[in-house]
Amino acid sequence: MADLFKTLPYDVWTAAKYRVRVAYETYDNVVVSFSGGKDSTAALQATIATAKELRRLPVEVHFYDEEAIPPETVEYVERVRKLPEVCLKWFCLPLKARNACSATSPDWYPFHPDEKDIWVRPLPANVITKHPDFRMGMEIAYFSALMLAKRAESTALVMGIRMQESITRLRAIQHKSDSERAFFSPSDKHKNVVKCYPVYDWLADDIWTAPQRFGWDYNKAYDVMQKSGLSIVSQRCSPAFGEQPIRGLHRYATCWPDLWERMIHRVPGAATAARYANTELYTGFGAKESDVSWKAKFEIGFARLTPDSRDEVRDAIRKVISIHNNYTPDVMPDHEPHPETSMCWRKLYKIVLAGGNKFGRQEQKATKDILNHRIKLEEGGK
Amino acid sequence: MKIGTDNQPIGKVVWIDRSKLKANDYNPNRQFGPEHELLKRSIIEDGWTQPLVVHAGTRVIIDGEHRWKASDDPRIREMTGSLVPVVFVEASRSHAQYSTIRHNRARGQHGVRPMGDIVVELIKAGKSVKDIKIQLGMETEEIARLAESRGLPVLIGEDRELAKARIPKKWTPYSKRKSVIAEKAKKTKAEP
Repeated sequence: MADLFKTLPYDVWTAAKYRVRVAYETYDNVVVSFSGGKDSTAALQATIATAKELRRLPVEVHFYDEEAIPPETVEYVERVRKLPEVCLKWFCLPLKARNACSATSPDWYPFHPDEKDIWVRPLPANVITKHPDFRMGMEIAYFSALMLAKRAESTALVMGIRMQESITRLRAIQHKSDSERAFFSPSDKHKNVVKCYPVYDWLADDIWTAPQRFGWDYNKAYDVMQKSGLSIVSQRCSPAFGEQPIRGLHRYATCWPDLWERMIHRVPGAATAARYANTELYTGFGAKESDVSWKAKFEIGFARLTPDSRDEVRDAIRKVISIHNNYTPDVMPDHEPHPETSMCWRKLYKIVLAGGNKFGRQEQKATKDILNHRIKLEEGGK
Repeated sequence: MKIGTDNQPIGKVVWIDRSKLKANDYNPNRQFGPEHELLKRSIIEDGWTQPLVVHAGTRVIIDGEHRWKASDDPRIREMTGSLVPVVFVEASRSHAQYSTIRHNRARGQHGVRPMGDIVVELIKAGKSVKDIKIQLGMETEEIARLAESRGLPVLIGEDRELAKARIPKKWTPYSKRKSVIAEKAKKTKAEP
């Protein structure tokens, strides 16, 4: 990563404030998308500090409540809502969220009015539960951009996304933006909305140093996780039932037993994922030798998916197999990666296990694997 | 060390009314709903198979707090007239704490593969998914994934009702459809 970037003569806090300043100067509105997590705290503080300098207070902040969140997060967001510098909109809409715990119920809807009896917490006071732009089936990212796009003015949506968190995010920042303004990512769909990443280059250490240095308030859920012995890297406040997050689902049982007691009954598969998310039942790996063929597992898992998911998997598999067939007339091997394409049913099984709307990415990973393998083969040939 | 079968606590099990015992104030083990239900089922179906370990002087439970809680269930009360099996031990507070944690932690973990094999064997022995769910306190998702990992499909239909029938929102009744098709055919012909 190091050689892709040049080091600047000022620190990340100065940079973050500068980036937000550019956002204020370039766009009519600046809105902070706030999750209550540590990254979005840094983004929020940078925006407040800049707005103060520019006399643009209060800062408009949007918080999407995903229901299955620790009490400390709720308390922290309440404190932020009371800040005089902030005008916070608290959304409790049944926006479609991912349930990676289950192959048969790949989605869930926080605060869905029909499921009131199994909500993990009651609806907070003074929150937005109805919105003219909301339609059932929308996801947070889609709704938040759509809502801002409907405004006559232009908006920069400030998000606490850091590229250290994931390679995908790094790529998104690299590809979607020119080098001058690496901190803006224009929306594909809406011309008057851009996403702004003022803390994109912050390291995990910066995220922990800044609150101490500047005396910021923060989400005390991190203290609970710290006390329960979780490493700093695994301390996250992310949606509970997503693809990556379910790997840490078991931490809810240790850190927030009362919350977990309700979460078990909230979405199908929660208890199963907490037990097995890091085993072959969810990752598809770990068990290298198997007396059961991967193709058989693939077919069983495939049959269990919802019709929509099955369509997605079918398309993804067709693409990967057609690329495979471009390089070799051989059928897809079961366990050992094919020497020409590095593909096998064991890898394709992962697409089924991912179970749901993330298939696109799994397929991209597979096709990328093939390309990288071809590049290696060709370089080796020379 | 306690030498000889005569000196083992298990040899001196006594039946005590559950109301005479109390929970300790340090138990780190939390049992969640599904596991607690499973424990009750275990006692109801298999009967009392293990005594609670209780401090002789204070009558504070060292091991078996969840079984003691489960014994408040009317079905379990009825089995023994609210009596629970107990062995009394002498222990300092620290030793009691060691003892509590050892009873809980010294039990190993279930391997994914052997669990899969058991689920497959149960299904092949004719047990329904519904039955296994209740007997082992598992979700359908867990049974399906375990079986899948060992190459056995679990019939999805087993624990769900049939879905409601649906028809398209835009629906042309059959009687009208013929004329609609005829009109469409005319239009396409009319276009050069």
